[in-house]
Amino acid sequence: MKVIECSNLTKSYLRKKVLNQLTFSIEENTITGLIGKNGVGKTTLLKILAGYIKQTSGEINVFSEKPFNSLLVSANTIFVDDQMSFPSPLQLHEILQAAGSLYPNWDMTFANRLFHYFSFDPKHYHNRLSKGKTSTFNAIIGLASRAPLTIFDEPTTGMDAAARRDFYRALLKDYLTYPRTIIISSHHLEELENLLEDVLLIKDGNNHLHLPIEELKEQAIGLKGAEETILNWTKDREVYYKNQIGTNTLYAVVRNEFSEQELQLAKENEIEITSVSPSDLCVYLTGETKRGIDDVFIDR
Amino acid sequence: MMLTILPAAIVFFLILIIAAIVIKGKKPVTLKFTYRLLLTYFIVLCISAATAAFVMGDSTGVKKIVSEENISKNVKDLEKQLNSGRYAEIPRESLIKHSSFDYHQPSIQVRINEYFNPRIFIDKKELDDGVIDVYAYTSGLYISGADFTNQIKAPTFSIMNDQLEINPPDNQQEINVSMIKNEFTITQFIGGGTTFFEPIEHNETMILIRIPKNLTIQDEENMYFLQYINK
Amino acid sequence: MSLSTVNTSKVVKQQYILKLKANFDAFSSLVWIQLLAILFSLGGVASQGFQSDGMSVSIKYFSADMVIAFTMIWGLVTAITITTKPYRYYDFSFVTNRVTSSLSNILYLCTASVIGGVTAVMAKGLLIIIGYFFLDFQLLDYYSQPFHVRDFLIGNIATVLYIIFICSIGYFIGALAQISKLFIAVIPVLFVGSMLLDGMMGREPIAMKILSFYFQESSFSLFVVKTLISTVLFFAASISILNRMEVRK
Repeated sequence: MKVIECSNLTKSYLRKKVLNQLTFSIEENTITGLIGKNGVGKTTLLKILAGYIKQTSGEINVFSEKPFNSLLVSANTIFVDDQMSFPSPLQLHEILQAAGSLYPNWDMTFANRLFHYFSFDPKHYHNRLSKGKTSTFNAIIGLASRAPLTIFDEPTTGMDAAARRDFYRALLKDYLTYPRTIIISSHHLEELENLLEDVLLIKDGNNHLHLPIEELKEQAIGLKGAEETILNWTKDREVYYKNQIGTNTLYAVVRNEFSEQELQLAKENEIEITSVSPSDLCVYLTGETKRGIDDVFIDR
Repeated sequence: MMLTILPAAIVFFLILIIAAIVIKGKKPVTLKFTYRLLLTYFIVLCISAATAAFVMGDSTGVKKIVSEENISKNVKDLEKQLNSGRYAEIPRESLIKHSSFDYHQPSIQVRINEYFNPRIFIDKKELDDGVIDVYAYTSGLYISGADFTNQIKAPTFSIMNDQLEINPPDNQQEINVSMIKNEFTITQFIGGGTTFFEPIEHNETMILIRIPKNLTIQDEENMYFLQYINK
Repeated sequence: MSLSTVNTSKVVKQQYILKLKANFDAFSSLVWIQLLAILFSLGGVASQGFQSDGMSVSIKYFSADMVIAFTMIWGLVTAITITTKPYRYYDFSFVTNRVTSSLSNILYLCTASVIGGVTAVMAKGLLIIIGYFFLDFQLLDYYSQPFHVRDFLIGNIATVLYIIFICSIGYFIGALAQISKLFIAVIPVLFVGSMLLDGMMGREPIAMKILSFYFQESSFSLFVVKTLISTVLFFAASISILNRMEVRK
């Protein structure tokens, strides 16, 4: 069943188009990573999915309903980010109670266990928490709600490395026991590689790429060698990225359409072949230019 | 005494509230505190309501209510009685002052304080006993029909040389009355009005001077307010 | 995970309970405001004087009018407050849609109006007690409209209705202000402008006509009908305005 169906979704603010004819769909019980540069529209998309804001044009269906003002979607969705706000007079344990009174699948035992594991004080107040603690608390709510559609928008903002590890691990374990549809928007794709099943890459407000992460791992290949050789080898190929190293060495990332023999031939031509991690690939794919920051330092 | 504390109390309360708002901004007022506050306030209100009902039925306020017609009747009666010399029939409560003076001079001047306009009745006695009796009568003070007559202070009488002076009472007398009114949410339907106006009936004091038979009053022509009573 | 069905009235009820808890500090403001109003009322809400023959009579009138007026203002402010962004956003951290959000707000405002109205009417008792024991009231009790249960009930219901009505107006103004801050300026300008215009033309200002429509209605049942319908209209309009608002932009 398709939990999310999105076709030609467009959202403009004043005259700027943030989302432009975006089309994709997400299957039930998958973990999808939403990747893209800052400001490309990931949060906007997620807020439309959650029913917070409306699209300018196009169609969006969550659980086969329009998400804006749908109680069904709201009851079965949770949107977790660092802007989650709760009434200030409520103490943390009261916020958990409130969540439990509204979310049908809420697991209070689970929530309390997470709560104590991360050493929260039940009588503390949400607006007094540090940034990392806020993210952690919000994440606890996201996990314990067991919402059929769970959306995390940069859930690890401010979290230290240990907390992030714990969060991913908890997320995975709970997902395995209680499957649901999860979307995570994050900049730390490298941390999520073991967690994600699919990757949805947004570029220019559009669906640039929507693939299982396994495929993404094989999508590109890195070639390093003498400049001329590399240029020859990549002449008719789809090049994602090029970078000059040293005087005559070129590193290029190309689409992996090589056969075994071609790769063997490349090695004989003193071309170093490396795999490209999905995280790096996404960086290259969303890059504005095919060059790097080093260009800023040229001629200095 | 308490009334003078009132403005100070208002200022104190205002400061308390402002302080509370400022402090509230720093530390969230807990649910428990607010709950207790509200509960206490509600209990105080209930107790006050019960006590107030009790107090109102038990007030030291005046009990009698006199109708308007009775009031005007009293005035007319008093006037008639004085006019016809039947002052002996005047009820005791109407007499608020009686002074006697020895006076042996042949004539007398009557001086009235300019802010004071009582009606003055002059009665010549049968005898020449050298005594001037001055009486002050009132036909009552009624606020919304409540009898406040006993609160009226009498004018002062004095004789200096050949002048009889009639003055209003020494201290400006003040009567303070508190009325509990219904709120607009009730008066809108029941009546009782939004106007705050109660009829206050205060009829002028009437003065009777009984003079010895042969005493003359100086400057009589100008004393137009003197009225001789005929028997 | 299978989809959970959802019951609108259950959501509204849970939200209402949550809002009572979350906004409970509004009731501490209520207590302070009423105490302040009582304090101000201790000097009398009106007075009448009379002087003659060397005697002055001063009559002071005491009632809970000021407490009711202050409570009305409190209701207005409370209603406007819960239409502001922070308060509207809270609901979206959990389960809601814009209609349930408004409905639970309305339930909360109704509860607040009842509590505010009843305490305002009962504040009269406190006023009398303070005056009698501490300020030496000379009570004219028998004419001071005596206590009737019927009056008390009518006063309570009318006060509560007035406050709910004003809450609905506040909610509506708040909702308008969410569309555009311009409305905050436009409404008073319209108000004052129409009064000036009517004044110049020698007509009774329309504001007065509107006010007397409610305040001078002497039939209790008609009054109830008028205020209830007006309240419902204002709330309905507010719901439809807020139903289109985006959140967490």
